[in-house]
Amino acid sequence: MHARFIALVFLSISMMALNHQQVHLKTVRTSLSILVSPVQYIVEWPTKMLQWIGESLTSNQKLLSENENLRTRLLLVNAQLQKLILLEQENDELRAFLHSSVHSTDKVLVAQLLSVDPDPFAQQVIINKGEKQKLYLGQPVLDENGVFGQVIQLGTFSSRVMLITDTRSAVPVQDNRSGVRGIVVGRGDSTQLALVDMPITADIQVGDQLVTSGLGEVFPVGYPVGVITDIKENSGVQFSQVTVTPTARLNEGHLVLLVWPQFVKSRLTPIKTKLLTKKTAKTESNKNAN
Amino acid sequence: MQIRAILFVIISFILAICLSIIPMPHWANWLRPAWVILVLCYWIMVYPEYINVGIAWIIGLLLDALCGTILGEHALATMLVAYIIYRTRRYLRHYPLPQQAVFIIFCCFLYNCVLFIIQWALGQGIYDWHFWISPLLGIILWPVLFTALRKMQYKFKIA
Repeated sequence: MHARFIALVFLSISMMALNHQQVHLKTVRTSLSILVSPVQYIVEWPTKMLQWIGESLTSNQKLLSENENLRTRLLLVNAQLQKLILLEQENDELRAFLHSSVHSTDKVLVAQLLSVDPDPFAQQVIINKGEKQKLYLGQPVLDENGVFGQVIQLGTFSSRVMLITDTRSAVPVQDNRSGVRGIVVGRGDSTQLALVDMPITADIQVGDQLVTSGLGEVFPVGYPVGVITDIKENSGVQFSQVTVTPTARLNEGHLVLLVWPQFVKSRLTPIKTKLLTKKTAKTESNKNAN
Repeated sequence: MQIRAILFVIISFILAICLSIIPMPHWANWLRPAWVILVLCYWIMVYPEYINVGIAWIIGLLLDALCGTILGEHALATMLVAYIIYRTRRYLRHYPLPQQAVFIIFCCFLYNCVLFIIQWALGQGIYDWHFWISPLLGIILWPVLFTALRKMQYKFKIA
């Protein structure tokens, strides 16, 4: 038993050293995740049952009023959307005028949070979509109010999402008002973020909205990340401490959006053009034969 | 070991793993007791020749996969506790329940220490002081769990 103990201690430590940066032992981890994923679904049943009981107990009257409310909201949102479509068109035309790239809409997929509480040390959640739905590592996740996090681990039917409040998370942003660029990092606290390395002279104010800048090619451009709630300037220090409140509802919510941003496709364009040229070459040769 | 006993052990471990990831209210997240450790301690005292550091290590690895921590973190902590219980099982069996509970609390504390040190070394040392309170829940949980498992064991006639 003594020898086995010492061997296993060494094995654990070497595994940790290898798995540190998530580079090695990926296959071991994936197969283990597949092995334990049924447990994640089992654990979800009690909460689902309670929800179902609650839903079936709500009175008809309440449902009707809720339905009414949702209808009116849908109408309002649709009206706003029409305005947005018009604006988008106008924007695209203007961009075409300036010979810059046209924004195209990103592909999205709705995913559900599995109500699993993982490690309290990390700010992570698990969602019910995985490799089967063609997710990829580093994929941005949004909710209806703003940026939520990114996919850090893929399973076949479920995957792990790191919230933007995790200490390992960083999101490139820019100030919506002044255009100042910066990086928002998590602090391990689900209610606040920090805008780091902001010089005292930078043009930022309390109440400024921060949106993703699209630099770093992980998060798409222009989605809200947070609002600056506090700026502290310590004398003798060149940088100010900026506190940001996330706009996404990280603690509540049940549904999130997975996004396939456009720049991933742009990375693939060389291959596409190659294929296209092959095709065009063929058609051209056919034409010549004719 | 009878097949019935093997099944019983496996089911109890699956339940413990479920309990250790079941959703809890936000304030109680840090107070989650180490269910897997409690169940593991019980089985090491009953079947030390089958359930020992090897099984503990495998269960720890499964916990790592579930919690998304680096592979080896929970495995190391779980195995350390298993080793201590394995070495002291002869005395531990003859202790009265409250005294056993105190020893188990010490083990849970050690388990938390190992997890904390690894997380801290990885630079993710965010924690709440409630984290150190969770082992103390063992003083109530251990006697309850011990008697419950013992009764079930007699009921299903598992030697």
